[in-house]
Amino acid sequence: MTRGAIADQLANRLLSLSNFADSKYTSESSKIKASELATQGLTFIPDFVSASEASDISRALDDCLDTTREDSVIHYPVFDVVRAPHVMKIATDPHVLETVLRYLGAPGIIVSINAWSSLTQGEEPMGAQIFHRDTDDFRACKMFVYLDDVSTSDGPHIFVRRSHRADQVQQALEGSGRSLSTIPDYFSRNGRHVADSIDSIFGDSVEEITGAAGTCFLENTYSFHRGKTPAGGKRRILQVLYAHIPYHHRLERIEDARLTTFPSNCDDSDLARHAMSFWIQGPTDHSIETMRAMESRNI
Amino acid sequence: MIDLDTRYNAAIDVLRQHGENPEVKRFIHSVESIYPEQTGDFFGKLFQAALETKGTYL
Repeated sequence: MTRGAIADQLANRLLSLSNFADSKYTSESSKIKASELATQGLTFIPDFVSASEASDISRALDDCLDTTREDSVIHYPVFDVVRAPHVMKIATDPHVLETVLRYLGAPGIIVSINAWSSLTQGEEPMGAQIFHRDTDDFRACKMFVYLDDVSTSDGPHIFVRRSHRADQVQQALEGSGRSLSTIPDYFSRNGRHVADSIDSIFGDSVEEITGAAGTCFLENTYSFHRGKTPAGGKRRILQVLYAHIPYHHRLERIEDARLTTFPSNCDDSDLARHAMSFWIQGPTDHSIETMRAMESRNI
Repeated sequence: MIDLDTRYNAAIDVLRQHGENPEVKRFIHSVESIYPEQTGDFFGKLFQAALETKGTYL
């Protein structure tokens, strides 16, 4: 039994509980994208977000007053990010959500939406600029959208293809002449303790993702990844996390940023409604109360 | 729609079946070690609740 198999079981359970009409979603393109995401850990979504849409979002973030700065990163308030033009439309796009459905095995929920700018500040990588794995759920994926043109000096996202898979890590270790006894090290904690060895072990699988504003990709961030340290430029990016089970701190952030109505520019499908389960005020209040009750019972 | 309570219970049910799986243990310990202040030991509590139903403790 692997972590992935447990994710399958959870997805099957959730699918049966949801009474979701899974069979009506038949897009071959989404199946292919989901398959690529499962095998490679990464799939691009070309011709999806236009440069002008990315620019609209970027301009809206420029107007944010309540930003927070952490080292070389400026974080934008979630409240403002979800109200920026196009953001919820992008996050609930039917093709994206169907790809997420096929990948997760059940309708995904949006667990977080974030945007931040990475600035040039020294050469030493820090925080998310060091190779690491995200452990957001038993299975999860993130959509990234570049809001600026991103060249190699602007701090592009760097991804290690197939590094979420034990068989591929084993192959990479064998290929670089390392002991297979170190495999557990590559799947424990958040992986930062082996960050220095990633480039030499994974070689050509390490991919630097540059692209114009609007470049969009879905990624299994349990694979090793990092943001390259900007060298003169900056990178502004939008990120949407899709999963099954939200941590309580994420729900608190959602609660602070929740919308009052379903966005009028979003495709109003059951997939989109499901994805936004915790983002619309009203029906979700019970869930938030349930979360707090569970915590108070120390469960 | 599936509310949070149902999601938690589904996860507990699945974990209950695999309480001694090394990969599950490692993943949960990873989450705990990285995000203890953020998750409120979320997966740990979830996992513990599942294990307690079998009378065992990790």
